Amino acid sequence: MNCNLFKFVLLLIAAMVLSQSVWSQKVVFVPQFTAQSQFAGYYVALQKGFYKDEGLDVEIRHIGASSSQNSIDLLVEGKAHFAGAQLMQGIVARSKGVKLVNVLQLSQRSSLCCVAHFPVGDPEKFKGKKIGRWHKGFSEPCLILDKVANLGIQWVDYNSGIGLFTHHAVDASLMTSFSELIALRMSVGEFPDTNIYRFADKGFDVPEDAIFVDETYYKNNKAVVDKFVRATKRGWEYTRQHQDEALDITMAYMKANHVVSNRTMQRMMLEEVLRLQVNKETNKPDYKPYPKERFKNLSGIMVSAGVMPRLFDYEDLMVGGARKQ
Amino acid sequence: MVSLIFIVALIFVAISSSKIIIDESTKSAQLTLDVVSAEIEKDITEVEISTSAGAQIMMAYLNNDMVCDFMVQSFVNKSDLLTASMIAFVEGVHRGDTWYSTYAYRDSLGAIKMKKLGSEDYDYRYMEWFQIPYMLKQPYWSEPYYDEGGCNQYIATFACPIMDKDSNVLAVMTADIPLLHIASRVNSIHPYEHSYMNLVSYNGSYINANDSNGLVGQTLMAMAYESQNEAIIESCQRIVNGESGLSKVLQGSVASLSVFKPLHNGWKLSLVCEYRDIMARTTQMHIMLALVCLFGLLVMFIICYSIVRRLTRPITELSEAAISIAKGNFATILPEIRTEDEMLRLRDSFAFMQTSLGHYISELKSTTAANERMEGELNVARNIQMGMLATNFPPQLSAFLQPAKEVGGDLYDFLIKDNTLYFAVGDVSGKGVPAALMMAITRSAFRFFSGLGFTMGQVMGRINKAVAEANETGMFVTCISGRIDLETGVMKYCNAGHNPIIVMPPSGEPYFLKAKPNLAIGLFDSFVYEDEELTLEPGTRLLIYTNGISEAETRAKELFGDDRLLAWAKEKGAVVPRQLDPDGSNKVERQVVDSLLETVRKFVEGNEPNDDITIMSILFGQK
Repeated sequence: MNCNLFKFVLLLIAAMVLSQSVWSQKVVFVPQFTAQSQFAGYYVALQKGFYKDEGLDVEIRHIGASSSQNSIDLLVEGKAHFAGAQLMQGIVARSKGVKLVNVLQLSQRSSLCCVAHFPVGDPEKFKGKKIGRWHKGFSEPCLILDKVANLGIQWVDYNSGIGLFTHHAVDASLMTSFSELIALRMSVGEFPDTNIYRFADKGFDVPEDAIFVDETYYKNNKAVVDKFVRATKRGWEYTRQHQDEALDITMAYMKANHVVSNRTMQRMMLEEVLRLQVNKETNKPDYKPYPKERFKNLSGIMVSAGVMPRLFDYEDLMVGGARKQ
Repeated sequence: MVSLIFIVALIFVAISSSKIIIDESTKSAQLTLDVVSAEIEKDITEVEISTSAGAQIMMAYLNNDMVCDFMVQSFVNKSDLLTASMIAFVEGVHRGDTWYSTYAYRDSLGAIKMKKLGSEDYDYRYMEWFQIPYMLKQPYWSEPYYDEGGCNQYIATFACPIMDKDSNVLAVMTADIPLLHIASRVNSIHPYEHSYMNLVSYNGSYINANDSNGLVGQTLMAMAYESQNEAIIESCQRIVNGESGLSKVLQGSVASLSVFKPLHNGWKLSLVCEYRDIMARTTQMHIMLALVCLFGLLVMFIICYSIVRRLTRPITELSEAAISIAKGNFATILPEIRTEDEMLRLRDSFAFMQTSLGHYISELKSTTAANERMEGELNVARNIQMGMLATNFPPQLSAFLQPAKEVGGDLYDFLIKDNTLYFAVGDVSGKGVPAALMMAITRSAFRFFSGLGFTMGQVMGRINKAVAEANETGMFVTCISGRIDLETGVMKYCNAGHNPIIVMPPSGEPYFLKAKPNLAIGLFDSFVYEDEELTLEPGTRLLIYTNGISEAETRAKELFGDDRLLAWAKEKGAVVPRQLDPDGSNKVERQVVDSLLETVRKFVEGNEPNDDITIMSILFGQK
């Protein structure tokens, strides 16, 4: 009798574990940087159970600030199923032969700025200057500007932070409007707007944050991808409606990951990220894929500037756009 | 006034002392800041010197891994301040390696461990602690960060480039300081209850952050912007700009003083003190001072009050005595004054006044009593006099007499005897009781001698004798008397210096009846009076009056006069009937008398009569 009971319990446990594995698809998502409110939507989706609702067991794995790898590297290495990266990063990677596809275009606008210790109304001001850029990437627009305008910029790679700029180790530095620019204001206070070159205002308003998956994984796991995308969208929509709650979740996540920051900066970052998700034409956060015509135009410029080796078809990368268009 | 001076002085003292306290407190705060900054500078400098010295030494031993290991190990071992140290090589310097570093650290048990850091996961080439000293070729203090994988706490790293003789950076040597030690020191500074000290990094991150003060990950400017207070933002901006100084900020109702200065490594130290704390003891002192002053004022008030009361009591008592005397208590006892001063003289004056007043009131009472008696007697005299007047008027006669005073000198009288109407109207010279007595004598004499068969002249003569005999004061009486035969209308009359009779014939104009000039009665007892005769038509009215009528005057001294009298007679004569009232009353003649009275009263417009008034109206009526 006891033996039968024991076997029954064992079977029950096994069934539970099995059901968990059968009904919960485990996926790993790697955002492009350390924990911060730039990724609030994902934390919220995880915390509020949106992924679970879709039957996904999502692990958010951040790259360390000290690591020189980027999220696409981890995708290529198979260490992640979903990777957060910028659109242009994805375009460059695809051009270099990395088989990845864009399944969700979150950001609709460019946040990239080049902040200098001098007024920068004219890009000529950057000629021959030392400009800091992220080692992991995100600097394609400025690279294009460098090549097209023949500025001869001396690039100084760094991992993160504004130290190189505030200590005057560089003449200027690339910054995002939602992160480093805010950090700069939180550190040194007021900073003249004339010293900020915003690419979005200079006709280079290219969307940024997006989610990429391996092409093969996409073909074999379309349903999973759709679920992830759906839950992620839901997470971001909830974040937009409940920003204070989203900040609470994010701050707790950051503390657990020993990421040092403050709520003021994270709130400002979140507000800016949500603004960047709003489509300029529709005035809605509709996560529209980058339009084909613009993609073609951009790709051409990138190849001309030597930022990427070759052109490729829009549909190869933009699966969301291919479906609609 | 004294209270006001006290209060002004108190306010001045309060303001002055407050200013002094604030100035001294500001200096004290700056001194505290200097002391603490010196302590921190000492620790920082110790790390900088030892690390820089180490970097200098290592320049010669960079190619010896063992020496590198030993260096960092003993560096950490020998220093109480350090938790870790590292020598990180520039790419390619160490045998062409991309990364090579030797890292010594204290673990959680305090034991010193070694690691080799440098990989794709830890690419120190792009980290600020390496890159900045590498690019600037200068030492560098990092922003505070959490050292995960090392000592697992918040630290700041001092990084010093190791350069060759050509100033090429070959490696970077670091020293990690746990911020807990510095944070504890800074957080222990509380010169006042609510004061606090902050230490922020080059980029404004709080170095004295811990879980209890909630400053982990915070920056000075973030906190300033969160306050939404312009003064705080400005003050913090000055701090992050590396300024040295002080500022005053007001947040809500709390005013604070902030003193700040930069340290040589780019960190900034500030001390914030709330004015309410600075002023707490001063406020207590001020309150004590105010209470002492109030108490002093109270005591002074009591003393002054006592003195004033003592000085003014005699005046108060004199005042009360005066009131009592004014109420009629002339026997009021005045207060005793023992001092030989003005108060005694005042008291004596009061006493004299009291005595004089008493006498005066007493005399006044006597006089008033006498006057009242006299007035009473006069009223009696008036009543007697008025009682003496004939009032049983026959139908053809009406008369009115109004003395100017209680008793008067006018008279009228009449009697009918043997179908003959005897009449008399007179005016005694003077007024008052003497005139009234003379009037009585005259009237009595008229009444006595009329109807004895004498002529009117003889009657007047006998009246004259009677009056003259009693005339010790030299008064005289103007009088007109007469008799009318009621059958024939023959009137015999005698005018002794009196106003003429106004004759109002039934037809024709009224006129003054001329008379022979007889002397007034009472002047010469032997004067022979002559009478005259007039035959009256039936319907003739006679108006006899005294000069109280013709000399009635307005306030403007305008006299009624004979002309108005005659004009009235003409007007009235035309309207008043000339027949006797069939019911036997004298209302027709009364109407005449009333009419003349009314006319005179209207003329004088309320002016008081200055003489007795007498009017007699006689109608020799038509049958």
